[in-house]
Amino acid sequence: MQIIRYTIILLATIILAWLLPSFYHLLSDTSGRNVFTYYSSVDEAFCSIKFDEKEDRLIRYNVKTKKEYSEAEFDSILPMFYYRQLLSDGRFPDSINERAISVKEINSRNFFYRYNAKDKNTPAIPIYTLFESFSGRVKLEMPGDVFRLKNKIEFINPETNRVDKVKSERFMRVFVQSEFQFPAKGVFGNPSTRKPYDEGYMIIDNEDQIFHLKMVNGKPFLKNTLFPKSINPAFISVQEPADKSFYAFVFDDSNKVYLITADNYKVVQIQTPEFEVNKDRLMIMANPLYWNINVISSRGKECYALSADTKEVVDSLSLLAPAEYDFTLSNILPFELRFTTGSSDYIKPSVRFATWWVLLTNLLLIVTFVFIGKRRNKQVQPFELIWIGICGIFGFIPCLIFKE
Amino acid sequence: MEKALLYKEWKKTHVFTLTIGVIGIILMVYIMLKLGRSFRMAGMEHLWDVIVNRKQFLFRNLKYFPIATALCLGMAQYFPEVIQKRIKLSLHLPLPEKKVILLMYSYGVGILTIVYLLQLIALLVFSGINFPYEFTINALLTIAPWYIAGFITYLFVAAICLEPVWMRRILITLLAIALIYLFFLSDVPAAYQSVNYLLVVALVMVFPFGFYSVQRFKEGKQ
Repeated sequence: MQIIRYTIILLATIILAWLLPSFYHLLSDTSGRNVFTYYSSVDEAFCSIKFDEKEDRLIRYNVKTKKEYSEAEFDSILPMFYYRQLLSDGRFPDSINERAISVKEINSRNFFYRYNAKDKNTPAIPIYTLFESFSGRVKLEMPGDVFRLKNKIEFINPETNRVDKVKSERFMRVFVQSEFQFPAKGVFGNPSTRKPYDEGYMIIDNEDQIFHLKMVNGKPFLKNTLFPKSINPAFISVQEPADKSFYAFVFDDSNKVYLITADNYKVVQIQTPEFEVNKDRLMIMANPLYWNINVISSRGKECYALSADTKEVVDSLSLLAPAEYDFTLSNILPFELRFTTGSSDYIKPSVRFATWWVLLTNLLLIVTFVFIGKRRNKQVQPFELIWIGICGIFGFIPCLIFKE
Repeated sequence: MEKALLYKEWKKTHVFTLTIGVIGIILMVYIMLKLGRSFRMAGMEHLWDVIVNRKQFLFRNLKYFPIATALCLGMAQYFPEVIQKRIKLSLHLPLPEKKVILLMYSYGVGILTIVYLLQLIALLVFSGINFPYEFTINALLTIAPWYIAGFITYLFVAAICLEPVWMRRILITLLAIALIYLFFLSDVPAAYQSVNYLLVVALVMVFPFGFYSVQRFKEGKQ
């Protein structure tokens, strides 16, 4: 029966290691710094907005010169971001720093891209919708079938739940004739009708080659993008930008980001601040002159401004808060068990350990446990002492309350 | 003797058992009728799109059924034993006490398995007819934690009811609530797919808790 008691203690320890730190976080957590920042094409510096609690107002300012602006001035400093307001006020400029600019150009080259680690770390059903990319219609329409792609490609009609053999064979022939190596490792697309056009899917084959699959006039289009062999793609985010200048962002297994351009699938590396594909968020706010690359992590935000043409870094900004020292998490709670994270939809246990100083706390708990045992005239077992020594407060509580 | 003991469990819980079975079947029929209506109203293509791209789970009405049935069956089976101290009689039968408890467990777990299997078969047939196997695998991975939680709930109810000390009962109840909550942390379909084996480990760990309660009962803990 002792073994069952140990099992109860073990289970209670696991539950406490999960719940106690969770409650502690509920009481103590504060939000990370994620203020608005944008690279000014007029000032050629990062600008930001902060809230002044003393004066109870928003302060708009140039981060480099610390110069403050009124709301109207700020619109003019960031014409690529506030161009609708400038247009409405009749203040939209003809040129910025001697470069001619038009609203049409801004409309076609401005885009926002958001990547959250959850986009990658999420359970998905491997069934995909391939739209007709040359339908001649303004609005995309559902194609009437879906496909699966692992060891072969098969189209399934949802109304009958049967494989469309003719279409499947037509597409399979193209795969066989190409250098595509089955099984497919990953299929990435943007299966939404709320987009201007469809660029189909980027598919990683068994040799980490990236292929582009589309349906044009009902016929298959499959092309090897000749992605560099030195890069191991881990995740692809297919995009359909208004100016049709690129196809997708590719994230590799060493946390680098690449762009597959529409210029014959030329690959360009996008410089980013330190970025972890499986943890952090990436936001790209692009305009015809500069791309704002923002990496948002638990520590705060880091920004790069890239030249839109050359993709070279022209400026950077770090808004990282110094790592906070938490006495309880470092010295009282020996570890922290988590099953959920903001960067994944999967339920998975993960453990974060405290500092070695926690062993001192554990030792104090052992002494307390022995003292309580003696007062209650109860025998202290070696298992209990070892368990409290390892698990600290999480072991101490169950050993105490489940004592015979 | 074993048959008589099982018959005693049946006599004690047959109303609950039949009710659970009927509710389980009605729930499945309701889900199928509701989905059939969605097929007609929205069309299968839209529904497939909603399942794949918006991560909607069609069988979410099943979510709390396993733990609710386990709770009812467990209470029906063990609560009278404790209130009327009938467990004393059972433990004085000419059978090892472990065997007595094991037979009681077998009855409850057996009934739950039958009800759960009925639902599982209905789901497999329905999903197999209307959806590709990828959807069915996803559905199984999604419901697995709910059904494992059902078995764990039953085992905890047994352990809590058979436990003789009130304070210990409360503590084990708290442990049970926290552990079962762990099975319902996410609404994302198949979110538990990589840890379903750990949930089975938890089930194995909880299995003997009832034997420990009985041992304490026999030792006369107050």
